[in-house]
Amino acid sequence: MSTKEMDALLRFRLPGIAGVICTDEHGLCLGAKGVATRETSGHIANIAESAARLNPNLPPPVIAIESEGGSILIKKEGTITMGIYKSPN
Amino acid sequence: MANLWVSNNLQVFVSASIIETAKHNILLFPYMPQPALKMYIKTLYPIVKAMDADMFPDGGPSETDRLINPANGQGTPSSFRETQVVPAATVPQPGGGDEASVLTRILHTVNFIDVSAVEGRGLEQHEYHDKARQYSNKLNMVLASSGRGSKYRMSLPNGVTAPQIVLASQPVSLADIELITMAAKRAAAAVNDLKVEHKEDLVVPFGVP
Repeated sequence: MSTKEMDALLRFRLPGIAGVICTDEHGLCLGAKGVATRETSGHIANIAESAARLNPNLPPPVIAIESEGGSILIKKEGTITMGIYKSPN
Repeated sequence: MANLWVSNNLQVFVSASIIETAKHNILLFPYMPQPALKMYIKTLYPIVKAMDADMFPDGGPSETDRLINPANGQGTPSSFRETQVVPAATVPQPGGGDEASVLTRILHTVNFIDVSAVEGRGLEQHEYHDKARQYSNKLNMVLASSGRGSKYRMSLPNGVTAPQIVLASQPVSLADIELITMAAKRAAAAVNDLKVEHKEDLVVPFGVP
């Protein structure tokens, strides 16, 4: 599946990325690579959905969850939600 | 004073004075068949009388006192009544100068909790963690002995230990935002490109005459 190829591509090509996850709008995990686990797909989809509802007239925002262990970038686009785990630099 | 009324619908209302309602609520009984209701009232009446005696040891107004004095039309000199629910009841009127005495009696009888006087001490973070751990340990002990099985978890995660470090670090860079946006766009395009190749029909008509 092409999204899975994309997961691998992202992870290997760019430094600093620890994991990638892709979910659909219902939280079904379409692909998870690296430190990203399948179990987080529901949470990520829900976070993206809730943040998009904050401003209904604007396109879905980029959500960055920062912690000491790195940061997670989440973006909802169309029916799919993408999450990228970045390691701390 | 506590009164029992039986209205036309055989619903029993027990109303209480403002002192009683500090401890007891207004009780509303559902419809019951008449013999059962009579038994209920018979058993309840001594309790109500006891409540009366408890509240007014010096012999307050009883239920046979008139609500309105027919001679001068003033309200009954009894304790302040709160709003009564009986449909045919009269509007309660507080007796004139007795209000002050009633108020002092209320203040002495009811244990007031003055929320405005409490100052929040504020828990330290380590105190909070310690307390949470103690409580969850106690709960685990009780739950384990009761055989329910499920462990009680501290519901809040630990979060970051040093929030100031995370907050002081560089914010999300524009390059990162571009990265995630492009990745999401490409993934969405890839998902939209999924097509079904029609090979065979699922439903095939048989040649049945």
